[in-house]
This record gives sequence, structure tokens and C-alpha cells, in this order.
Amino acid sequence: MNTSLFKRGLGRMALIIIAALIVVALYAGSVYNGLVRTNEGVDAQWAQVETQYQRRFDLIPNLVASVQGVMRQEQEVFGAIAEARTRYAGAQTTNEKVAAAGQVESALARLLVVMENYPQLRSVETVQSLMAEIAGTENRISTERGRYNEMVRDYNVSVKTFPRSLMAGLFGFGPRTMFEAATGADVAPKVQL
Amino acid sequence: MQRVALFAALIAAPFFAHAQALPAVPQGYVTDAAQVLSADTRALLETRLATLDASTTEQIAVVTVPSLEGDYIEHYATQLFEKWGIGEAKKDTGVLLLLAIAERELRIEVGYGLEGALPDSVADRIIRNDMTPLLKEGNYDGAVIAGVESIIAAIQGEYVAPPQVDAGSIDPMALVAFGIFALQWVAAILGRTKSWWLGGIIGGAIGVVVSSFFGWWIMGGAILTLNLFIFGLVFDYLVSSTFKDAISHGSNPPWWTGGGGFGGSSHSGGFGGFGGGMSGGGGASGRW
Repeated sequence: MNTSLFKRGLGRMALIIIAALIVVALYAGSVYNGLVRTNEGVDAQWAQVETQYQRRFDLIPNLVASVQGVMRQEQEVFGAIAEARTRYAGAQTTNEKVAAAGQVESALARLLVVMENYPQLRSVETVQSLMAEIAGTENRISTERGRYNEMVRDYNVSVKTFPRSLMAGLFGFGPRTMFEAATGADVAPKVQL
Repeated sequence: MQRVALFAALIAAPFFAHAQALPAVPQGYVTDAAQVLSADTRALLETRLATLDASTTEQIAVVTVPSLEGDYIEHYATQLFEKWGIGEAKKDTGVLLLLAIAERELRIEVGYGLEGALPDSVADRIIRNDMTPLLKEGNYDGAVIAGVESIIAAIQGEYVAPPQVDAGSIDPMALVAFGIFALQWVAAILGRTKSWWLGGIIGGAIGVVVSSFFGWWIMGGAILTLNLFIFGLVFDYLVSSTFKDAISHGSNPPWWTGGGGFGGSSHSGGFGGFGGGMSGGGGASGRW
């Protein structure tokens, strides 16, 4: 009689454990799906940033071609731009791309500053259009970067906070890096031509 | 007491610091928070923009603000665009024309879907050629009307609403109407039964049937079933108690328990809210 009671207790215990396991599995599944979703979201947002980098990359030769004739003395700036573009084109990993994009950005900024010494460029319609496109692209880059950082922040919080951090470690989700905001990099340069 | 107030202020501070003075809700296509436009201009623009929205689903928002409160106009415009969701949600066919009076700055912010029709250089030209000269004279009405007309000329026909009656597809509105009808029908039955658990059983059963029918992964099916079960329980409880209350008070039960007829919604033409579009910082800025 004692053994049957014991057995019944065991059976009940097994049921409870199975139920608990199912609950844990359901929870782990939903956490995993959530992590996959936010991770994919971050990737998609990174693609948006890259699209804008590419757009800037494509605009630069046009701008260089349209101003090079007037700005004969500024060969050094054009050299820096060409070199930065080559590096960006050859960049493979995300980190390389970020670094090369930063170089393109600073070379372009130098060109824009130097261009202010050539007021005769102001009246050229193609130059004006290109400047508007470049200013717009810089603004797009900062917008998409800002959104990328926001998504990475959300993702990192879910990877690092307690109950989910266990699952994240188990499934191999690590924290991802944000853009380091260079001073003033979150603001598109003002182009006053 | 003072300490509590200080503490509360400290906690609240970051939220207020973050919340800029964005105009809370659109008053229409035109939100003249700086009050620089005449009533005639506002009425003219509302009609023009409502017509545009109705024929092409492109939405243009005209906003004037007294000041940017220290923000950059590019950032402000993107935030406002995102908050209001100007343009159709999937197509992002929206444009925001923003004027900041104190800073004497303006911006045309273009939604993703219209970047092809209204590239930055065109937006820049509209600002420089059509708007800035008038703004310099203080002619806000003329500048905004000229700007809106040029924007419309640029984006017109980029998205002509395609004829959507292809055979075999179901009108989403009809689906929604059917869903509401079905829900009301179920509510009418559940409200009249005394039980509060029947809804849960029905919800759970629907979950099981649907998930076995579609052959979903076991976990998805289980979650769906659980959710529908809980939803059913709450739903039944809600309609049952509402129905009982209404009966005991001698009044008509609300329509959603199947008590009365349809009220019929009135939707006049004109501004019906923005659609949920997004922009990615495209467009152009200028100053006068």
C-alpha cells in the first residue's frame, strides 16, 4: 500500500516535471525567436547604412569630375579621396568597411571645405545639384546610422539582461557593436554654396 | 516632501529632455503651429492635398513651427516624419514641408518611396528657386503654395493607384468587415449564455484546429492555442458581464454584444490621418 502511494507520488512528480519542461521549452523557443528577429533586424538596418555608403561612393566621381577643372591646385585632396574610395571598394569585413567609410567621409569633408574657396562654383548648376545630393546622402547616412544604433542597443539589452542572457549565451548570440559617434558625425555637414 | 518632488523631477528629467517640442498631432495636412499662414491658404492647401491623397495616395504634410528648440532641422524633420508616419505605410509615399520661423530654416523631407521622383537636387531647387525668394519678402502664404505646387508637379504620377480588382484576390476591407461581423455574432451567442468559460473552450478548439490544419510547428501551435484560449476566456467574460449588466439596467446592450443594429460610421472626405510612412533623411534643407 505504501509502495502504491509512493508510485502515485512519483507519477505526479513526473507529470509536474514534464509540464515544467514544456513551459521552459516554450519560453526558450519564444526567446530564441525574438533574438533571431532582432538580430535580423539589425542586419537589415546595416544593409540600409551600406546602401547609403554606396550612394555616396557613387556620387563622389561625379562631383570630382565637375569641380576638378576649376580646382587645379587641390590635387592632394583629390588624391586622398581616390585613395579612400579604393580602400572602401576593397573592404571585406564590416569593420574594414566602417573604417574605410570614415576615411571617405573625412576626405569628402576636406573637399567641401576647400570648395568654399572657389565661389565661381556656386553658379554652376551641376555642382549645385551634386552638392544637394551629397548633403542629402550625408543626412541619410546619419539617419540610418542612428536607427542602426537604436536597434543594436535594443538587441544588446535583450542579450545582456538576466533571464534572456542565459538563452543568448546558449544559442550563441553575442552583443554587437554600435557606431562610435565621431564628434559631430551624427549631424550632416551643412553645405553652403 | 520637497525631496520627493526633486526625486520625481530627476526621474522625469531624461524623458522631458528627450521629448522635443514636436507638434503632438497633425491638425490636418497643414499644421500651422507658428500661425504664419492665412485661413484662405490653409483651406486651399487642405483641399489640394486631400485631392492628391485621394487620387494618388501620396501625402504631403505642411508644418510650420515657431522654433526648433535648439534641434537641427534635419533631425527634427526626420523625427516628426517618423512620429506622424506621413505617406502610405508600405509605399512610404510622403513628403514633409517644414518651416522653422525663428531659425529662418526650411526643409523638404522625402519619404523612401518618393526619393526617385523627388531627388535631393530637385527638392533643393524648389527651396532655392520657388520658395526662398518669397520667404525673404515675408510672403509665407505664397512660398508655401509655390513649394507645394512644385512638389506635387514632381511627384505626380509616381504612384498612380493601380486598378486593384484582379480576380481571386479578396478586398482587405471586406475581410475586416467579415471579421467584425463574425466576432459580433460569436459575442451575441456567448453573451447570452450564462457561462464565462465557453469562450475559452471555443478559442482553444479553434487554435487546435487551425494549427493542425496548417501543420505548424508544435510550439507555434501550442502558443496559438494558449493565446486563443485566454483570449476566448476574457472575451466571453467581458461580453457576458456586459450583456448581464445592460439587461439588469434595462438598457440596450452595446452593439458589439449583438444587442442593436449597426450604427453606421460617417467618414467625410478630407484629412483622415497619415498612413504610417517612413523617411530615411532624404530631401534638402535651406534658409532664408
